[in-house]
Amino acid sequence: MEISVKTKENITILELDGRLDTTNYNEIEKKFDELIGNNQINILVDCEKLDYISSSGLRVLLKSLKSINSAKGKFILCSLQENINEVFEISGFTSIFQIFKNQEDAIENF
Amino acid sequence: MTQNNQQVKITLPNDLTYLPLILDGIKKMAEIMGFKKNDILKIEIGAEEAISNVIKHAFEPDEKSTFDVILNNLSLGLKIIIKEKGIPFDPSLIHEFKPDELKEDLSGKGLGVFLIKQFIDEVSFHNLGKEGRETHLFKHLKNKTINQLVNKAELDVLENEKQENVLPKGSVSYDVRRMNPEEAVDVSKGAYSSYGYTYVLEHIYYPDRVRQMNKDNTLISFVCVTGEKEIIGHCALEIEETDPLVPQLGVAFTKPKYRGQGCLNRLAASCMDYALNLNLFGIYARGVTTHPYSQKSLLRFEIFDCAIYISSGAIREYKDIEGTAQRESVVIHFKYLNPTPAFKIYPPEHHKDIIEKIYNNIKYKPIFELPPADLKFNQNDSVIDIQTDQLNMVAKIYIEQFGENILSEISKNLKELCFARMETIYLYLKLNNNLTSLLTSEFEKMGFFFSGVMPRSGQNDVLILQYLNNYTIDYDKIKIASEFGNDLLNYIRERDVNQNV
Repeated sequence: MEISVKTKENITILELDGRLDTTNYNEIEKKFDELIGNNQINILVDCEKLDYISSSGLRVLLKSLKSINSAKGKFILCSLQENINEVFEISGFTSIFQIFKNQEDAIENF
Repeated sequence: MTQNNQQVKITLPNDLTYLPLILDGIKKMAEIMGFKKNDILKIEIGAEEAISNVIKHAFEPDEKSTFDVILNNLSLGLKIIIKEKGIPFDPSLIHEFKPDELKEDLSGKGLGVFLIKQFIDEVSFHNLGKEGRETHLFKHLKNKTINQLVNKAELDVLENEKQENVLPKGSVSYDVRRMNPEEAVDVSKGAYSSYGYTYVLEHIYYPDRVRQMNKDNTLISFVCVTGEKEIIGHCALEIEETDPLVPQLGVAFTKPKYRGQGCLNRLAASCMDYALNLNLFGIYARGVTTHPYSQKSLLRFEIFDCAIYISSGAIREYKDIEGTAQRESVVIHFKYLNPTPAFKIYPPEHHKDIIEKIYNNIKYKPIFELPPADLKFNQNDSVIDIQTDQLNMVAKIYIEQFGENILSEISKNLKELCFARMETIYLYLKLNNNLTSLLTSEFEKMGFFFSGVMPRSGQNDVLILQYLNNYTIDYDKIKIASEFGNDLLNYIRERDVNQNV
């Protein structure tokens, strides 16, 4: 999986490309820990190019949401592919994450 | 499309580095078999969760070992078997993930197992004792059900067939023969017309599956066909993995307007002749108890009662019959076709009389033996096989070998199955094993109670016990056709621990 990071005003945008699974979840976990450690607590995760996610990836997102909520920041997701959205819906993630169609809509909600 | 029943076996190190390798193989197998993109993703997620669980939990932290993944290209879908000989793992310790409780608990514990159950059609765990453990995942090829194949107007016609006037008795001439492949659609339509979507064997609503299963001879369909080539009745033998020599007689229906033409009698006779010619051991059938009609048909063929499964199926609506609003119970009927000579069985002393009556009822006389004074457990671990049916929320535990740890194994698995919200759990104990006589009362202390006896080929007859997971059945609503069946029901009722709560 490739992770590209950019910032827009006080929002950190992570664009994920590829798969988020048992073999690589710790890469993004480290990245989230690093950002939260640096008090970058307004995070937007763009999933447009994320084409696979398993429970390890989902748990990292949950853990990060928990940390950011505690730090009074915002953690938003956008551009989920249909398959990924189905995994989110089945797991109940759509009820606890703010999810938007695209980056523009997501940024407006920070 | 490939030929069916082909197998690929891969042995992998217990190292997550190799996970992408096997997942690529699984994806490729699913593609070869014709699975659609969305289903391939679900198979991949289910497989990743199951395989990574094995790598993470079935071995000591620094242990270098291997395990097998076996991919079976079967006619109805893909079966993945993960086989390992790692450290015993207690599935009951897995936290149950509940999406609606996510707001209160953000840990995501149990999410992996949850995804497996959501994305894989059938999941089962098998403890093979010294041989290790197997996790089985099965994903059906998505065929179209009959209501996806025909339009709404045609479905309405099928629905309304129930109201059509019944033709005068004996006024229709027809042949009875094996189903031709092109008639599978008509068989699915007929099943829909007769049962709605209530028939237990879900495959019957998928014409492609009916065709394929008949080709494989795992379903042996007979049909009644008129001179105008109309399929007016159907009945089949379902060959099951648990005992291929004892098929189930079922999927019987006659189009409503042709009732009274003797279709079912001729169909059942054809099925039984076929089974006799194959030299099969016996035949069994399930008679629902919402009404006594199917039981009465079976009794006419001398297929007699041998067990009653209490609460064995989801609540079903019968359009023509007032709803009972409780889970369906079924009477198990059995008929010997080619019985073996009498063999020794070791029934528990306190059920000996009823077991003797059951065997009398099904016209067989085994040799009733008392167990020896010094009963010994098998030196090896217990071997048990667990099958779950998510549609009806029923689990079946087969004890293949009694090891010293059998009571703790059953107790642990019972706890796990209750935790997984299984409504009813059936326990099968081999009657030719003298430990059955000793241990039945121990299982009854756990809450299991008597169900009956099921003859099996190879002298492997089983005593069946059942466990209701906090479900109280109204026995007065269970309709039994035979006098013996009513005696058996009363015997069971008196022993159902849930009746006295």
